[in-house]
Amino acid sequence: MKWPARGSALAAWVLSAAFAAALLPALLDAATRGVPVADRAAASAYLRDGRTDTGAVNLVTAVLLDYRAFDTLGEATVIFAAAAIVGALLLARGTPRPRPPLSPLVRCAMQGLIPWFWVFPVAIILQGHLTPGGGFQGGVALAVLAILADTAYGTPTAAGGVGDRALGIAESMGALSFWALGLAGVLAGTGYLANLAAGFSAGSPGTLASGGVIPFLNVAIGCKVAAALVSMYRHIVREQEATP
Amino acid sequence: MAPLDLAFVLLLALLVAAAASAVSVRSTLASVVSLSVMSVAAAVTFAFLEALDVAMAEAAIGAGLMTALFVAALGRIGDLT
Repeated sequence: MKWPARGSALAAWVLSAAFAAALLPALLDAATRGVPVADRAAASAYLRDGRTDTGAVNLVTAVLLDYRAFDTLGEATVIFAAAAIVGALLLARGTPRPRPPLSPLVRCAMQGLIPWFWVFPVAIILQGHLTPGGGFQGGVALAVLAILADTAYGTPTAAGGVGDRALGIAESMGALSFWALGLAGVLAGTGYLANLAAGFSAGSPGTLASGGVIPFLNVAIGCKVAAALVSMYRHIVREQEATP
Repeated sequence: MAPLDLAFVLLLALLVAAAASAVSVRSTLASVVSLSVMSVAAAVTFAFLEALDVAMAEAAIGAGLMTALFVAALGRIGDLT
């Protein structure tokens, strides 16, 4: 062990253990007793009015895509920046060598499994305003599905997978439609990313067609996140293939 | 101690053990796998605390995507041992 030196490694372990010991009681307390919601004005207001304010049953999504939709736009921008930087740093210099696909056994299994793997992310995205999850979680699950297919079949386009151009279009359209849906609030004379105030229909809470603009924002986020993460992965893998 | 509490404490112990393993093992690949195990434990912890949205994000990003990106990056720098 050259670095870190034995003494400093021991000090790091002791410090981490002390930090964990200090945090453990609070975590156990939160798990067994729960934090009283009534003491918090914002949380109790969301719980009381969330359903009528937004039309969404899943209050986490109501906060993410209605009350704090602007913060979600910022989060999406962070992912966009990360994908852009990875793309700029790892710009493929040679033509990528196609990778050998995995064994026929794996490919046959994937053929049977991929349709089922589609169900989960799509359901998560479309029902983001009803059940736990939303565009972000579903988008990541979709990206993992695409990475799985890329790994099994070798080249991205071998099994009718999405090409890089389609990925770019999906990413841009996701980001642009989120931005444009937010603009509807401005055109209606309220605020940017306004939901029911901008004239979107709340529907009857609990059904698929409810929550005003929230399901559309979920789809936009899902497209954007999935496309950005898959293109990030492909940039990393491609460079590896280009340099022997 | 109720059985559920015991399960929760065991889960937290697994979380800490996986985190410690991630920073202390020599092989980078083993470290990545430890981090993935830690993410799964964290996801179950969040689900335990009734934060299902966070649990889903942690499972998809921490256990799924980050592991894939790390392994791809390790393969790229030729450290996949």
